[in-house]
Amino acid sequence: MREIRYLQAVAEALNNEMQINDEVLVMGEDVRESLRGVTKGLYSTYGKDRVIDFPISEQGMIGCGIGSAISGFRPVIEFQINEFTFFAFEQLILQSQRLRFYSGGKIKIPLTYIVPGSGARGGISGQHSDNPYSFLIQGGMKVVIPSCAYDAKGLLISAIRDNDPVAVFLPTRVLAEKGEVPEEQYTVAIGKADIKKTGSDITVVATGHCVNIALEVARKLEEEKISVEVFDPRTLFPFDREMLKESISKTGKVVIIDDSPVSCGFACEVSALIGEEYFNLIKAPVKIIARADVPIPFSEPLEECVLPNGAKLENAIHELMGRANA
Amino acid sequence: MTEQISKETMAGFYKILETIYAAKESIAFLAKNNEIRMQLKRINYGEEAIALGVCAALKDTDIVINTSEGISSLIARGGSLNAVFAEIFGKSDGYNNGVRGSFNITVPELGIYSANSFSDTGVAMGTGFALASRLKDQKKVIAAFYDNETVNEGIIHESMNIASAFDLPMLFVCKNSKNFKGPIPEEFLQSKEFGSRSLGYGMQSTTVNGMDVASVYSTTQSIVKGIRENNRPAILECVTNSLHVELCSCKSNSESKNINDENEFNGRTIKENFSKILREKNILTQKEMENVQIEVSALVKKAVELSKAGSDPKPENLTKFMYSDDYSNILKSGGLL
Repeated sequence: MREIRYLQAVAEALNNEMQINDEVLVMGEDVRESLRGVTKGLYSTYGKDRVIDFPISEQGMIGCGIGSAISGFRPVIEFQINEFTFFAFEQLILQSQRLRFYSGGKIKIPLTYIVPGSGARGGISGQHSDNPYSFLIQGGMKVVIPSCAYDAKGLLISAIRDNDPVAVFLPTRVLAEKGEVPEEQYTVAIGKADIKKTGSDITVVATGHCVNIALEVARKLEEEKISVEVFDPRTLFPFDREMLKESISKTGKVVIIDDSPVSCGFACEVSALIGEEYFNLIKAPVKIIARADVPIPFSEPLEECVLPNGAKLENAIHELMGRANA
Repeated sequence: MTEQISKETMAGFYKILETIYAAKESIAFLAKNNEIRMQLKRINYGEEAIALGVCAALKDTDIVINTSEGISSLIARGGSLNAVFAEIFGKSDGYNNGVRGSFNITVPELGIYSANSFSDTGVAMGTGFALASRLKDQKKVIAAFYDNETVNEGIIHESMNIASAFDLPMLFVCKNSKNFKGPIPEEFLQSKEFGSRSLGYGMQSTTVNGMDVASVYSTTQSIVKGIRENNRPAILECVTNSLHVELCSCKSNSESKNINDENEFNGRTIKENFSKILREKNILTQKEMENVQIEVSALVKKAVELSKAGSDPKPENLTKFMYSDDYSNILKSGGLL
């Protein structure tokens, strides 16, 4: 099968959906020029009525997306910078996420938010390095975070076809990664996890680019005869608890690695789920490797302190397996 | 203004106005007796003519974005009293299955959408309906209401800019109430003329007496015609008085009256003035008006009785309201994951 980059897979999914459905619109800031590369070429193909550049006004843009979604369009709103979600929180949650509820289920809001370049790229400091998905999950929004090119194409297509708002986080550290991606259209179901590597000793729940970190550590630990299973939820909400249960039933040990703030964050939620529902299946306390509760500092050594990484994951696995750390 | 409006239309307005007042008075009575829950223990009078005049000037296919004072527009657009009261009682027969309450009822079948109770951020959503109308060439006009309290919200300005930049068929209806009992806007404004803000966005603006049904109706008609033809947004500033009646038993109506204007406004002024015109122009006799009052009172009474006897919404429907997929297991676990 051909290999393409993650970002190309995202662009391909968007282009495919625009091609087959006239009601798919792209909205954003600089989507004509395509600063991030996600919407490259779309303007010349689909024109100004379907690829709509907005003034820098995130709240107004999302409001406009909501109204057009209720009117029958399927807007895809691109956030150029992950922090833009903060600028528009009221519209994201109180309006786009809750309006269907407030209406008593009478309306549908098929709206997709894509956040290309989420998380820390490295060296861009505290205002361009966030992964603000835990906030959205608490607001009730469907959130997906594909870790590889195949999942990116399939999940984005599912998100666009979904009848509710879906936030698609595209981690900056995987955008350039290559992977096998079919040319034809396919979907990856929202709410369906994937075992990226099977193992029998320990389950590593890894999200976004942390899946690659986990796979690398897993390969390394094979030399020490530690068999790591890498569980990629792919969708953070709704979470595939059944597949996690199966994995834990087999391994009995869990480390969660996630690149968002630890307190009240996604990793804690998974840990709480295990503690509450699957306590009888685990043989050791759950370990969490996530971001420290501080903004991303500019200094490189400090940034490394805050972010989850392979060394931290390896240590956690060693601890759980009762092995001394190197 | 009234000369251009047919007698039938004027008589129709009278019935709607009576229905709005009857509904509001019933809500006030029920709230005082703690028979219904109120998001705010007060009821406002003074914006009925704006809701009625603007809604009547729109086509059925047009869209209205409401503020928290939404009951008037709902009734003006032909909303069912039974479904309105069922919602106010939090019952499953309510327009929003009892999950929304008296503020911000959303009724897609009537083209009524509503967002936040206070900050009028639904105006932003209005631009989306307007964009859709333009892209699909539906010739719809979107009337988005906002209060003088919220003219300084950033999102109102963002929406005006977007509507103007994209040539959207939007009518921004500013309810400039001179007696608003909240954060007093005059304290925070250099200019008290909100309509003039349209200059910054390259829009036309018209100011009208918001207590005169006929003026609001005729003015809106002509503005909406222009919007439909040219796809250019406009502002309609409706100046009105208002009266806030506190519904707590500890406060009497007279204490909560807050009138600064020279013209005494008693909450029913709009209706009284309109009735006077109808009598003078021989559109309706006093007797005919009394018959209308009896008729609408009976309708409101019936709606209240039906709603009281209605059933509560079922918990298992909560996630159905929120998602298009079946996520009922979320409620069972009590958590999101």
